[in-house]
Amino acid sequence: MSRTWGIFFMGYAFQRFGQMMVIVLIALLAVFTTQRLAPGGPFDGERPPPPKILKNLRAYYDMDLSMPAQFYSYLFGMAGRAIEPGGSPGEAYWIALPPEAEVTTLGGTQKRSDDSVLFVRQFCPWGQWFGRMFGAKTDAEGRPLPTLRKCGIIRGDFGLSMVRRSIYVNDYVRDGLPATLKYAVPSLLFALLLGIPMGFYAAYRQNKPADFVMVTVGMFGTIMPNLVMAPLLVFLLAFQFDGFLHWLLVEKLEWIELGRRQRTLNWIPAGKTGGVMHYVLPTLVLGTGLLGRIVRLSRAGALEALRSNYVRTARAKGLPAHVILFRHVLKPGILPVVTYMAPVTAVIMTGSLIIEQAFSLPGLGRQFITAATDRDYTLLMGTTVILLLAVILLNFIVDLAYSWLDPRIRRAGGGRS
Amino acid sequence: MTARTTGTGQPILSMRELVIAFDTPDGVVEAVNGISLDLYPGEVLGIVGESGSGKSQSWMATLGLLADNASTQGEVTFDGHNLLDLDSRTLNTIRGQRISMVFQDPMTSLNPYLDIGTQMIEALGTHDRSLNRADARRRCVEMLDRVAIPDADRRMRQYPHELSGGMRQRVMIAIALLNDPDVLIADEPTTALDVTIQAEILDILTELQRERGMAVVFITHDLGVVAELCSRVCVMYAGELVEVGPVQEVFEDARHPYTLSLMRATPRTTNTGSSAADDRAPDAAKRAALYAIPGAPPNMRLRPPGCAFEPRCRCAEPRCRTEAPALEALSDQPHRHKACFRTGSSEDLSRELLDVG
Repeated sequence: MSRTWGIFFMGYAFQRFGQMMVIVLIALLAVFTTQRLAPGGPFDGERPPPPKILKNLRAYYDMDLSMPAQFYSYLFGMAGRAIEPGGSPGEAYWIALPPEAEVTTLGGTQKRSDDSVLFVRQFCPWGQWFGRMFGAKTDAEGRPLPTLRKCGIIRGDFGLSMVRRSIYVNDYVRDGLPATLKYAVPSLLFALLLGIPMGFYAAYRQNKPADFVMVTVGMFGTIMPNLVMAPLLVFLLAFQFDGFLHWLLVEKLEWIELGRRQRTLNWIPAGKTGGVMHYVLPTLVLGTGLLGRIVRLSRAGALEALRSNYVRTARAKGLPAHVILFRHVLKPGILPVVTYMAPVTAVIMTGSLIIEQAFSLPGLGRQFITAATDRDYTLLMGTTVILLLAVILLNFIVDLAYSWLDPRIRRAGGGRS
Repeated sequence: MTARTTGTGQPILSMRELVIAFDTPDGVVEAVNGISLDLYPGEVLGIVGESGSGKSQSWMATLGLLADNASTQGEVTFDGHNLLDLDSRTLNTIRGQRISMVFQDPMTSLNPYLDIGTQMIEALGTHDRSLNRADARRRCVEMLDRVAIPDADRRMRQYPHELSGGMRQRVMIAIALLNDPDVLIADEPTTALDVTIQAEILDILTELQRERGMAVVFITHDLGVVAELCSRVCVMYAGELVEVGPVQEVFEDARHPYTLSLMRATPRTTNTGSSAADDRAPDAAKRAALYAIPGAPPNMRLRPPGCAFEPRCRCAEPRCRTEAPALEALSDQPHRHKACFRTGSSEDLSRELLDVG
């Protein structure tokens, strides 16, 4: 199996990478166009900037170009743009050429003109770009790496934020993504590790009280909005739970002697950073929605497998129940859950918007919303690309997992490559 | 036709007053209505009847394979155990090892997520823990060879979707026979296959039955197959046995109107004189359009108080409407049984059926 799998994987990955590029390009174009068509712009405010500054700002962010040229510049960067000196926040990232220099622009090689100062992009080697992209400030020898410059998203430069003009979108992403993942991954693990056994148990005990409980949990998780869950859990767990425990253990049962103190208050992440208990509330809020869906999906998958003819065959062979469950029911049973893992990225992102607001976490979702309302074009594009890549990557992994689980798909996809 | 051992000696498996009821949202439906039947070692027992007559369910119950909403009464005795209320551990030592089953639909009866080898080896391994994997594998390959699957070694690594329907049914048969069972229940094993493949599968089954001397229960719609294969036949209607006896005698001299009607409703070609069933057809029926039994089987929830076949029966008497006939031995042939008040010979009954039709 491993050899076939390897060949299949190579061809498949290659094919998917091409598709991925096309999808990213189309999505970028869509976001780029729609946000520019929406009323308002990043430089609008109560007090508009002076005309000269506005002109330079627009020039720095390529906003004075035609839309196709702007998009080209966003993708690949653009050399040889002449802007007036002074007033531009982007000036620091451009370098002046000596007067005799020849400059390569879109229109071909040309001499530097005398009446305006010509600025061009400064390129730096790939290794340095990568270093900056992943957050390194110095290279291996300890020399400072140059900051990313206007060179297009293709080289990993998401550009400067248009509203907070001294901050790179790359830095936003670098800070925001781990903060989001820090709560997304535990809640996904929580939902999977609890949801799949719950769903299978419910299917195994179909129409019995246990099944009813599981289905209710599933329903509750599915319909309860995170918006309600977050304050509710804060109220119940962070504020009331401690008092309840105190009442139960000290006053009612008189098991232990202890003073009144709000031990669970620091479950609120903003309260005090660092502890494991911080994960409890965000994970529960984000996790219950996922848990509900996963319980329902795995229950449905397991039920279908349990009713199938091949499980009847397995029973007729005299296999004990646990062998039937793990060998014959597990794979087909978790397939619906695996399918759900692709759109789950979107669910987690929208969910993390809520928990980031509710628990004051510096995540990517918050930046996404801020960017959209502020018309921060570059930040919105940057966060969109990151989310898109996450969704595409998960889809890819799900497809691979699917073909690993289901030999029929493996055959159909791998035949061509 | 070859000589076969007919029912002699101690029965290997016996059903007594087996009742199977399903608890459905519309109420309790009795699919099988107290049937009693013996299966003798080495015989090939045919079970025929319309869809929904309970022929599959009664044998599914034997292996504890009924759906969750089913309940059973009566007993099925095998090797001193009542299979109907056996704990799952003991039941698992019997099913797959002493009694195994081949199902109707080979396309869905194999797990599409596991390769053939895994699905075969597990059938051996679960009954014999001491067996090592290499030996188990060798036995599986031998068994695949035995059911005429070419290139068995490679097939072991393939998945069910890479095999044709006939191949899959052979694999099912191979799995069922791996542990050399005493009883093989074949539940319409050829219904889903095309005719040429059907013949091959039947040949393999016949050959293996003869070679191993196991008892085979052959559940089918196909009277021709029963005539060809079986030594004894049970005709079922609406969850009850209506006629039981040696194949040749039942087909040549059917005593129950339902059996007669069934045989008249069987299409036949003129030049297959080998089958016993063909000779029975009245001349007029041969020339006429294919006979169909009027009406439909009764709704199992609204079962008539008398004989279940009475509303469709052209030989019915007034008391058939109120009293249900029991399965009793024929007065002239005590080894044959039928459930009908009419005592007329086969000729009388078929004349009556024909006159009105």
